[in-house]
Amino acid sequence: MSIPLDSAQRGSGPYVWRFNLFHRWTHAFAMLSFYVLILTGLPLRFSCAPFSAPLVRFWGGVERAGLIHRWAAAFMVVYSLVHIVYMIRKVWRAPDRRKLLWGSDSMIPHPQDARDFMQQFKWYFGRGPKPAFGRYGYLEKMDYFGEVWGFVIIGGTGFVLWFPEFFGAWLPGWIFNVATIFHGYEALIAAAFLFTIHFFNVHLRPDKFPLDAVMFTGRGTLEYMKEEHQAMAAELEAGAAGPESRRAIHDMRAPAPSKRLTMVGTVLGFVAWGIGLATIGMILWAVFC
Amino acid sequence: MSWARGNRRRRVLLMALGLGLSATAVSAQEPGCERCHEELELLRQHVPSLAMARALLVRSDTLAASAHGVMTCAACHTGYRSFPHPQAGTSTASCASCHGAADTAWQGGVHAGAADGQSVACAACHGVHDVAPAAAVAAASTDPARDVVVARCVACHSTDDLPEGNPHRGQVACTACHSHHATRPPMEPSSQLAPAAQAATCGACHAEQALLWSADVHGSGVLSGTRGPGGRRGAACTDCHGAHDMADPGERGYAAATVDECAACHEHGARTYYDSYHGKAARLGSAVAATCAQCHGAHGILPAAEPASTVAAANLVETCGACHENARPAFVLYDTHPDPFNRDRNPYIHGAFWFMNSLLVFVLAVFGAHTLLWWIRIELDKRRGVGHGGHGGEAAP
Repeated sequence: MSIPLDSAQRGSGPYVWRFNLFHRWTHAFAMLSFYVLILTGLPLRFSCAPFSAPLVRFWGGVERAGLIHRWAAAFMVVYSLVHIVYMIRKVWRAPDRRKLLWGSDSMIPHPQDARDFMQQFKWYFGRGPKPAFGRYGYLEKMDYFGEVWGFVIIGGTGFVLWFPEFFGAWLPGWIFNVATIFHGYEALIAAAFLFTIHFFNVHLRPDKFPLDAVMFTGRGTLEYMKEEHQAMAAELEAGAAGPESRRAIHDMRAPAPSKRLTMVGTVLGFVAWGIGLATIGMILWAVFC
Repeated sequence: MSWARGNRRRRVLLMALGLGLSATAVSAQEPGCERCHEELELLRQHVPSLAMARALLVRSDTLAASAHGVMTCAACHTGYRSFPHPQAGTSTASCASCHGAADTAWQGGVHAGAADGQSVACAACHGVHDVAPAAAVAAASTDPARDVVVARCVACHSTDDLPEGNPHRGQVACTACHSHHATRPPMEPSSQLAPAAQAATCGACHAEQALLWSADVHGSGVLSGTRGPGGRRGAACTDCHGAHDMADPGERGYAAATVDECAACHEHGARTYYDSYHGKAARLGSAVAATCAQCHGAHGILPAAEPASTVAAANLVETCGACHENARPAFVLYDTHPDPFNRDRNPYIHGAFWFMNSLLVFVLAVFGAHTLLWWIRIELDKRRGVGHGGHGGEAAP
């Protein structure tokens, strides 16, 4: 049998759940809105670049591109609010709130994450084993809180730039200059981070290449989990707890993803990193104009 | 300006009137030239060649339709009054004998040939027996006289009329800008198209713009010789509008294209403009984003320090308010030419710029190293045969 393209489907062991439908849809929405935002915003950020005019024509003119940009932003705000409600509900209903927030499956940054980060560098230089990550390692937490930070900075400044005459009535006008700088640079950091560092960590690493579709299919093999989230896999095998606590491996066991779902996940993954790497190419091209 | 134009028109009209009266008087006395000069066969019998006979052939209807239609032949061909024509000492009166002012102007112009010895005399432009009515040529702003003038100029100067898109095409004859008799190259100080003379030349039709210009930064620079950005002494009409490649301000895209004209001297202003939303959107084809002229004006541009300037601090609410209905004193503190490298201009813009650049470099450096080292670790392990947890083997059952 050939090696599956999806690195989460490689190796032995039963499938275990990693992301539920809500996580997966939220991520799909985040991807979609981010791509629309970056591809409508990029031409304005680098208006001098040769690709900007054709890209703007593709969107139907600079005013239309701006309108689509704001619709995508509004969409992002909506699913982010839904996500916040989901998170509040989850914390509210948790049987063991302490464990949810501070246990090994938590999304909250812990001192252990700093130790893992240092351990990762030690491992690079052959001075120790690879750190054993829980359900969310420092990279996932970085990705998540990076987006939260980006959402606040880009969303906040974008809102100010959306209604200049309202904010300009009581804030000095140079606030729009400052907002433009924060908005544009933070978007640049987000794009550069996602399309190089996030892509490498998740998809393009030689041991995961060409992609990891776990965010689309929601599940991976136990062996995959042992490789990527060693601490969580160990807890699962030991029959310890998941995020909702008191859940052992038989509760987390997932059916193998259907062929269709795998296909959708694979195609989506390739399209996403194709556009992403093309965007990085455009940014590098534009920097020299 | 309009005074000069009116004066010229009056002069031409008087001349035409005077010539007409005297010509009528002469014509009654001396008819008969057409008896020979309209008959090719007859002429051929008296001259050595057919070519010469053709040259002597004059159609009376051609003459009748010309400006000289009411004059007799002998009015110009003074030596040929008697017949048979005397063989020696014959002469033809020069045009200058009637058109003295035109001749004086022509002597000072490029067509007199002082520079290259190649004289382009009256007949080259005006024709001989088909000389066009002077009033029509001088005004020359309507067809068909305009086309006659353009056709005669392009016979030597170019292969075509003004290019498509030039608003003067089909409207204004060459002579309206280049003058008709005192035509001089635009680079010469005495030319009617020299920078300082353009206000009068273009102002003949565009009086309001010329008046505003003469008092603004560009006009006063030209007229006083004060040097501005790029070491230039102001800017005359054609510096911004171009000459034969002039575009129509009514055309879509004109406003965005003017930025390039301004950028030719105002390099820093254009660069910082393109760093603002106005510039970026305009460059991408926005029809509503402000370009240079919307804020600074076009013919009445004044420095911000002058109270009458559109960009003087006290006038900004009104200037910005033309597009931004609810512009307030706070709103107009927006920097339309942000320069993040200049701390003194705005420390907040400067600070935000350096903070975000530092963040960008920091994030990419830390995680770039994180990524690169990870890659190297995996490759090293692969080479040493250290597996990654048996990963990458077979598919799951």
